[in-house]
Formats: sequence, C-alpha cells, structure tokens
Amino acid sequence: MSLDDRHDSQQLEGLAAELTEAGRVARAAFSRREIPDPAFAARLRAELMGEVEPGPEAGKRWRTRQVQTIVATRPVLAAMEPADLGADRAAHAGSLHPSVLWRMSTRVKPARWLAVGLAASVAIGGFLYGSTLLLPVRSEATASVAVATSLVRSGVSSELANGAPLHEGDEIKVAAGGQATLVMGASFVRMAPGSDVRLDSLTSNHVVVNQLSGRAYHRVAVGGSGDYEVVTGSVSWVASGTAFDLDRHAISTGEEVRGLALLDGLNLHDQQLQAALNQGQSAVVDLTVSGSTQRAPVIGQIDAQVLADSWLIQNAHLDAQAGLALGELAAAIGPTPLPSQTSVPIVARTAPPTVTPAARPTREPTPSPTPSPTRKPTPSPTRKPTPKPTPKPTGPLNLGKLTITNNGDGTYTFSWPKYKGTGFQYYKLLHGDAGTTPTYGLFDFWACNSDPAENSWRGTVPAGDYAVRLQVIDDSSAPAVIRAQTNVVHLKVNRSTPTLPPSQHLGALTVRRDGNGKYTFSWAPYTGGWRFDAYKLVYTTWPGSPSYLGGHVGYWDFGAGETSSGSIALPSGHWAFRVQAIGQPGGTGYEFARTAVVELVVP
Amino acid sequence: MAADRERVLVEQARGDCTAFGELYDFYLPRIYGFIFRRVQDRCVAEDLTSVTFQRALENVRRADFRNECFGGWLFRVASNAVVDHARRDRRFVSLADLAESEEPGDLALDALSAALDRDQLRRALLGLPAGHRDLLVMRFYDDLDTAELCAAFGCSRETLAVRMHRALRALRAAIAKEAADVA
Repeated sequence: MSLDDRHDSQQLEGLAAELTEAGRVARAAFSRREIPDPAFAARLRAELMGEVEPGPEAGKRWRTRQVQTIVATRPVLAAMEPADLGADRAAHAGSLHPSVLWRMSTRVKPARWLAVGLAASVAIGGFLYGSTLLLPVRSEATASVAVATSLVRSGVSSELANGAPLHEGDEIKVAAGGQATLVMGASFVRMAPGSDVRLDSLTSNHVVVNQLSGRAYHRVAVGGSGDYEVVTGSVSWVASGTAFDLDRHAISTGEEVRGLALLDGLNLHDQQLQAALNQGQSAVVDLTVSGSTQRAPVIGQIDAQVLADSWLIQNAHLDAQAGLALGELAAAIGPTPLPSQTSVPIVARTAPPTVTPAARPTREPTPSPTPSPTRKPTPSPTRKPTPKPTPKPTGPLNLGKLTITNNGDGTYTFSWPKYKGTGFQYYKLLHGDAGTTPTYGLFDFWACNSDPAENSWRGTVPAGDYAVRLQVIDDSSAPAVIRAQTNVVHLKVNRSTPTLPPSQHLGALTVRRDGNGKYTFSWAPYTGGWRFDAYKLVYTTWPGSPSYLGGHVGYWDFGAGETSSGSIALPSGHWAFRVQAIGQPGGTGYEFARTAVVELVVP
Repeated sequence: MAADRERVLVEQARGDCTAFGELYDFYLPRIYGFIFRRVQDRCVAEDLTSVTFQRALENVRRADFRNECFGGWLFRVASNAVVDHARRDRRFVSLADLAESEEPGDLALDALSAALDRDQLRRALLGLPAGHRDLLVMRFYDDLDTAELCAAFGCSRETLAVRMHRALRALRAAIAKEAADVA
C-alpha cells in the first residue's frame, strides 16, 4: 500500500468514525420515541401467533381474519350503545362520488379478539363493580386476555389461551412483551409484561393471588363477607377498597414491593407489621431474599410523578372506557394528560362531566356517589368516608351517519359527513366483528384519511360480517382523542368469486436516463376496465422476470391513473424491470396487466 | 442474534409459531425503530411494522423462501413498506415536482446529519446521491451489520464493500467541494 493509499484509507476511516458517532448520537436522541408501544407489540404478536395455524385462506394477501370474540363481550358492548347498533344495519346510501384512495389500511390482520378481550375484561369488571346486586364471587376464574403468557399447572407449562379456565394452584407467567388479564368472579387483575402470579385460593368468598414477581393492577369487587388478598412474600395486601397496583421487583438486598392505593384503601400485614393505606397513599416494603419483611413499610403519598407511568395510564384509560371510577388515576388522564406511550385514546370532553357514568346501562339506579357497592360491610377505619365520584366524559361528538355503497365490483364506498370542528388529525374507518363497537386503538381500520375534505373511502372489503364506524382522531399528542364519530353500521360481505380477466399486455416499458443516477419509466395505461389499486414498478436481477406477487428485489408504487414514474433514483446493478397493474379483487392480490421486461444496467 | 440460531428459527417458523415469536421479539424494536426514523409518526410506524411482519410470516412459510440473513431481508421488506407508504402519500406532490420531493429516507438522513458536528460534513452528506445516502444512513444510523446490509441491498459482501467505499469517497469529495465553495 502506498503512502497515498494509506492516507486515503485513513481519511475514509475518519469519516466513517464521524458517521458512526453521529449515528449513535441520533439513535440516542430518538431512543425513547423509537420504542414500540407495549400494547401494540403485544397485539401484533398475538395476531402473528394466531396466524400460524393454516386456515382456508392462509397466506393470502390483505386477508381479514375472522376471529372468535369472547362470548361475554357482545351483549355488554352492545348495551353500551344500543342506538348506534340498531340504527343503520342495512344502510345503503345513494350514489357517492368516490374519492382518491389515499392510504389504505395497511394493517391486514385485525386484532379484534384481543381488543374485544381487553374491553370485555374491563366491561365485565365495570358492570359488576357498579352493580348494587353484590354478586357473589364465582369460584371459577378465566383468562380473558392472554398474550405471550404461559400457564403452569401441576408442574406442566403450557401456553395460556384466551378464555381458558383457571384453577387454584395455577401459576401464570407473562413473558416480556406479553400481557394477561385474569378474571376471578367479579374481580380482575391485569398482569404487566414479565409478571408472575399464582392463584392460591379461588373460593367463593376468598380470593388469594400470590404475586411472585413483576407488576399487576388489581381491580377488586367482592361481595358480602368475601375478601381479596394479594400475597407478596410474607406480606399480605388485603383490599378494603377497589383498585390498587403492586410492583414486586428485585433489589440488591432482596426484593422491594410497592403498593399504590388508587381507589379506596388497602391494608397490609404480616407477622410483624400492620398498616393501612388510604386512597392516594403508597407503601414500599423491603423483603429479604427469603421473602420476609426487613423493616416497617415506608408510607407516602402518590404524586404526579408516580402517576405519570405508562402502565398506570394504560390501566386508567381502560377503566375509563369501561366507565369505572378512577380514583387517583383520574389525575393521570385528566384534562392535561401526562406523557404516555399508550395507544389507547381518550374520548373528547365536550360537555360538562356527569357524576353517574353513562356507560353502565345495566346498573341499578343509585343515588349514592359511593363508587364501591361491593366493598366489605365493615369499612376500614382508614377509608375515606365519602370517596370522590369520578367525572365521566360524555363522549365524542356525533358526526352523523356512515353510509356504505356496494359498487358491485367487489368494492364498497364508505362516506360520512365532513368534520368541521377543531383538533382534526385523521378520519379512521374502523371495523370489528358484527355486534362489537369499533373504537380507535382497539380495533383495526380500513382507511385513514388525513384531509378533512376527504370524507369517503372506496376499497375492497373481504368477506365477513362487520360492524363499521368512522371516528375523527386527534393524535397530535398522546393519548389520542376521539373528537367525533358516526354511528355503527352493520356490513355483511358475502364471499364472491369474480371471474377475473386475463392479464393485459401493456407493451414495452420505456426507460429514459435523466442523469445523476436517475431514470424515468413510462408505460401504456391499463384499459381492461377493472378497478385496480396501483401500478407496481418491480425489478429483479437480470436475467429474471420480476413480479410483485412473486419474486422481486424491490418495487415502487404508482397510482392507477399514472403512466410515468417521474425521475427516480435506481440502485446500482444489472436489473430486469417491469410494470404491473395490481388490484385486490376478493381481498387477494391479482395482476390485471403487465409490460414487457426491460433490461437496465445502473452504474 | 447468531446467524446459525436465526437460520434454525426461520426453518422452524414454517410451522412453529413459537419460533417466529422469537424472531419477532428480537427484531420488533429494530424494525419499528427503522420505520419510525423514516416516517416520524407512531400511527404510520405501527401500520408499516405490522405489514412488515405479516409479509415476513407469509414468506417464511413459503417453501421457496431463501433462508439467508432473515434480519437483513426483514429490513428490506420494511424499507419497501416505507417506500410504498411514501408513494401513496405523494398525491400531494405533482409529478413534475417528484424529483425535488422528499424521498422516504430523508427524515432519517436529516436526523443523522443533524447529529454531525461539522457543518461541511452535514451539507456534504445531504448533497450526496440517493444511493450513497441510503447506504450510509442504513450503515451508520440504522446500525445494520454487513450481512444485513447485503441482504437489504441484495448484493454480495464484495459489492457492498465497493459501494461503501464509493459512498465514503463521494462524501469526502463533497466535503472538499463544500470547503472550496466556502473559500
């Protein structure tokens, strides 16, 4: 190597070092924002895992999977919005001017089962919690939500399925990135990623959850003389109230358990200590490696910093959506929301709050603002005599009717009134199984339009029985806010088998070298009359036959009305290029037309 | 993830959801971050991440799937998804303006360049041809290793080395030009 070569090499290495450092700095600057939301990660994981078992249409593109909904969910959710569900089950509008498709739903596999499962768990809890009937705690328990969660029963570990019954002695372990909600009678516990609990007792009046590690949010509704106890080592946390959070984690001297009394009081005791927490108080207990207490618990107040925690905020949103009283958590999602990574939106507060939650249609009228009718008959002396009623938001604005037109070619046009309010970010066309109430953050969507004037969407809808609703989302800050929404419309799409035309040959693909590494491709338009989604400029290594639906190295998308790529930069190499007109008749990718292959050497 | 382990998992993932779950757990943060850097929108990033893994699952189950550097291939799928998204989104840009419009990787490029100390280097990087920029961004910002870059760009190690060398030389030449212009 000559001296010049060495100098040259050193200069380039120096540049590389500068870039490496810049990359590290840039990654660090964005590191918080680049972490996927845990709820999203868990939901997508569940979708993917559910996809593995081959179904009749497995492997097809853009397919919408039909998934089982938790049985208890439908009547509860339906009861929440009877007017919506009953209004437009067969709504078909007159002709509508189809708009340009902007952004199709790229989420192809809905997470309905998980979303509805989440809603079910809180809705069930909300209903029973708010009831004055003091329902007896059932001895049986189930996992209403289980994502990346294992069940250890009699020493044998297996994957915990949604809806699986749980028995005394069962241990439930949630993997990192997973989550689980266990419903025990009228109480439930949401387990955070990495948590581990064992169900020591599930009798009708005595629930004992042994929280072995990790974090869990407990929502308690026990009747009569029943109680709900969580064991962490030698310490028992007995719910005298309704909602509390326990976080058990390792520290250098053993373990630390932090309890937060979020709604009403919480008692803790072991052989050496006894303490009572009022709502709004926290306790930190240090455990030795053997699980016994080291010293008296440190009791303090729950401050805003503690509440600015994504796990608590997520639980607060779920409880709020179910109409449950929030206690201290109300501050976490108040008018000025604290920072959060949660993807669950809150509803717009457009009217003065009401004291009685409106989302509990089955609750018997009760003039008392006391939010916990299922609490013990002998209240703890530490309990607040008159718990604050939690204001319940009245919900988004009514945007009007969502209308659906069957275009007869496998596509449907959805249209809705324009939103004229403030805070507009997106129109989201949400869908779920028939009978559900699609809501942003919990349900999948077909369209996401960012222009307020773009108040319709035309696209292919796979066969299925759907509930569809349009919501106006303000996602400018976390958590997202639902500004307005249409009614829920029932849409049933029968499986159709259209007779598709043979692929039309578009002739040659013309290439023009623009210089500076850029090229312009031109092609003849498709004239077959079928609706397709996009032209795909695909390429593969020469010699080869590039195909968007088959083998390709890469591709670009162009609208159905375009016949030129514009000037685009190409990667170096020896390539074979082709343009294809691709649509999704019946939900499956199909080639309506193609050009001839052109060979291109890009320096 | 070790290449051998990855190959085994991909092979198992054809019929074993647990194996794909392990791949998902490992790559989700990187893929999501890769996409987020380019779209800077949580909603869109989640959509495109979802598309990427759905496509991955569909492909690994195919008998003809080439089990070579799954991670790098996954980045290529993610990159295509971002390009797809950007092309759909460009209805706001007239065809005549396309050449001047932001390419999908520009947001990532902006972030990388903003972290550079030297103004000349920053301007030089922004002025590079797209091919060089993409390679530098994916190498130094997205932190892809050689095998992943080869899979992402569909080239051999030798070709990648040549391209990287050319990109750095082009960057050095651009810095020199910047310096000359300032002088």
